[in-house]
Amino acid sequence: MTEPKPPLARLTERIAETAKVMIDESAKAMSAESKKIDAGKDAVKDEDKYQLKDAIATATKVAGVGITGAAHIGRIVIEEKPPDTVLAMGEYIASVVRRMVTQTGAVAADASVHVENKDYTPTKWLESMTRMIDIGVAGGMEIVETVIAGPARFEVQPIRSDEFDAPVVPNPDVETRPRTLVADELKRDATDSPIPISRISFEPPVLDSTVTKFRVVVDASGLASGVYEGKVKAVRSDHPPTLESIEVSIAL
Amino acid sequence: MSKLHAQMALLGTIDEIVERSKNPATPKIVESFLPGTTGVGQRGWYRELKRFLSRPELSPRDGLEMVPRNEPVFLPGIDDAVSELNGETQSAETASPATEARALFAATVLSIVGAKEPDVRIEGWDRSGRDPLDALLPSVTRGRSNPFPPLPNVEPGSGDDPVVQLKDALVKVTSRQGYFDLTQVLLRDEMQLDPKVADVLKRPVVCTGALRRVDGKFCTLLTTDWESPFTLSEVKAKVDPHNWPDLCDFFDEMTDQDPPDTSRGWARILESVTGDRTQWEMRTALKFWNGVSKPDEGIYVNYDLDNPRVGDCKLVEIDAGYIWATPITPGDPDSKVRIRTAKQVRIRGVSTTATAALACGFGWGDAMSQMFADAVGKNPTDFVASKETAPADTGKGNGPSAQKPPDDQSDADIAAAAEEVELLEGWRGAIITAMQGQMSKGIDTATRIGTDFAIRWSDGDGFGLEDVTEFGKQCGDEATHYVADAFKAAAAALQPQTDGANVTGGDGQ
Repeated sequence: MTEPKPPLARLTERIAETAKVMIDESAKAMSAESKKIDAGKDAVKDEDKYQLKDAIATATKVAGVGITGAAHIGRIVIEEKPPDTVLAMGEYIASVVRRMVTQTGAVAADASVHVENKDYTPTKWLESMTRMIDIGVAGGMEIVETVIAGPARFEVQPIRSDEFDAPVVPNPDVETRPRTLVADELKRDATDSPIPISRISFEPPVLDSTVTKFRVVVDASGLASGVYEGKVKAVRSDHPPTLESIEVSIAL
Repeated sequence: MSKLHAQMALLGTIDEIVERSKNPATPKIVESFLPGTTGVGQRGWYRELKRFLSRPELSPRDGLEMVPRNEPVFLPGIDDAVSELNGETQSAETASPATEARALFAATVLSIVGAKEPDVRIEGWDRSGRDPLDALLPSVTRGRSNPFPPLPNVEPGSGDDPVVQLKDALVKVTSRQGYFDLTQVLLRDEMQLDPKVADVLKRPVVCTGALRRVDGKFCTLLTTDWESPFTLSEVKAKVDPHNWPDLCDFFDEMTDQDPPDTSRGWARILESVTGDRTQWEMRTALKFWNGVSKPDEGIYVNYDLDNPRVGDCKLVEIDAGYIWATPITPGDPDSKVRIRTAKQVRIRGVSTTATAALACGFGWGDAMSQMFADAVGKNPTDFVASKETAPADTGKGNGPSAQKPPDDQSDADIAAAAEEVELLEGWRGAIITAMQGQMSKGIDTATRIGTDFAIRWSDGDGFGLEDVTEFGKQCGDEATHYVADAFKAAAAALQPQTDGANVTGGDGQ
């Protein structure tokens, strides 16, 4: 025989039961609404269409679960992960949010045209709202999908080339001053945009007389994948400056 | 059914087990073999992939006409897939070594995970029947009868049957690296492998991807690096993209494009890829550049999306990459070459995980590794370095390129289309149902905790320090699980629901 539960325990259970009934009821209502939204574009009768008077705020709140949660998770990851990953993650979340802003901006621009034309009806407002929610959820889920995956999924930057022979010094016995390296038009052939100099560095950064090999180091984020070709010049601060150059290839 | 679809079904079933498993160890095991596939929003990629392949834009064509489909794209269950791969069906097609390599890897993971999940039920898989690895190994080993020398992790005296020996060694592997290490052992001379079996084991298994941001969007980046057994001249004879359909079963056609031409000397090709040409094909307008790398005189092929995108499915937002072969010993004409590849891809409305699965599971991302061992067709195209030209006129004047094709669509048009958000029909209902389930579960949990508190508080001894500690820990654990499950449920609700998969998520979904 089981002992009767204390009054407080019974009260807790009863409140819980009531809350569950309320949730079931509100879920039924929300489900009906969602079906109306999905069916709205094909509806013939006005009463079948999803109207402004319908409680769109409810759907907005549900959608908010994804967005808010994604932001929280993103923040937690930013707080917990090492600095290089933080940068990648922060940049990633910013890029998705930026795109969401662009998307919502497009919706707003579309709405503004209707407002100016004085044909911005409640139904059009509803269409705008629905698209806004979709954008929020899609963006939120993209962040979740990637953020949860962890730092291993972000490409390790920068990318290092194979080793190249340092440009030959014509008179090594005389010319012992260190040389600095400069990239010259590193790009995919038959395209216009070379990799910005600011994204290219070298290992080692300066060639002294003992260095015979070097690597090109490129931050490839934002670049199309491909084999990039160009020259690297080794510059000495003579008067006038002298330089030697070699051709290089790097796969990004 | 095609061999490629059968092999993809093996990989996809691993994802289905992860989705249905209630054992927290299962996703960890799978993650160690297939990184980046088991997290929230990542698991479920197989359903997402099937939905994507069924898009009307990917309908197969008969000549220039698109053939409408009445049914979604079909991928088989495990039992049928294994029969197909074993050649037990009517299909005249034979599995390529690369397809066999991916199938063997997938069957190994499936056998390991399946043994730990005996109660998970998957449509099309008779769990009381053959283990997929048991079923595949006799055909993979080409009927070998002589026993192997002792294999890693296999107890001495475990028997003389080479199939049993091999299975014992495979199922004791615990990671992707462990699998690779075992294949290296098997390739040693003393193992006396059939050359065809050795060829399968030399092929890389399913590739994995990283993320790179391009134009504000993150795309999947797949890279491979392989010290090949081929010379530069052998690679030169085959690497031109025109030859790819002869060499790799995923490539169906490569068709030269007509003007207008803005490519400045890049070769323009309409690429058609498919896992089963009777069911779907994905056409992408690409341009290629054949180059000679410096200073080692290696060769490379760069590729990127063409502009305008004539004749393609308009779903691929980013598709750029390279195949680069460089001599391991520069200056030696007989030197073997190192082959490096990268593929950077983003497909509209498809998650990065499902994109990686599409590219890696079908061999799209690392096609080079399976190309060079096969013979090219009757009219191979030799590698000829590209030369830069002035871009042709693209619509002005009276030149031959003045006429725009009817389905011309620029990069800008496709980028604008990509900005349209694509969520599943009925996602709102799905997320409401998911949240309803989660909230009910949360209330049950709160009830249990509240009742526990009430009983402790009412038992006459009050709520002691130990009670506070224990109760606090319990509340924290429950709250954490609740939030985590709610997220899993929300993510699952936004993925396509097919094959009777659970809608609500949570509970290890």
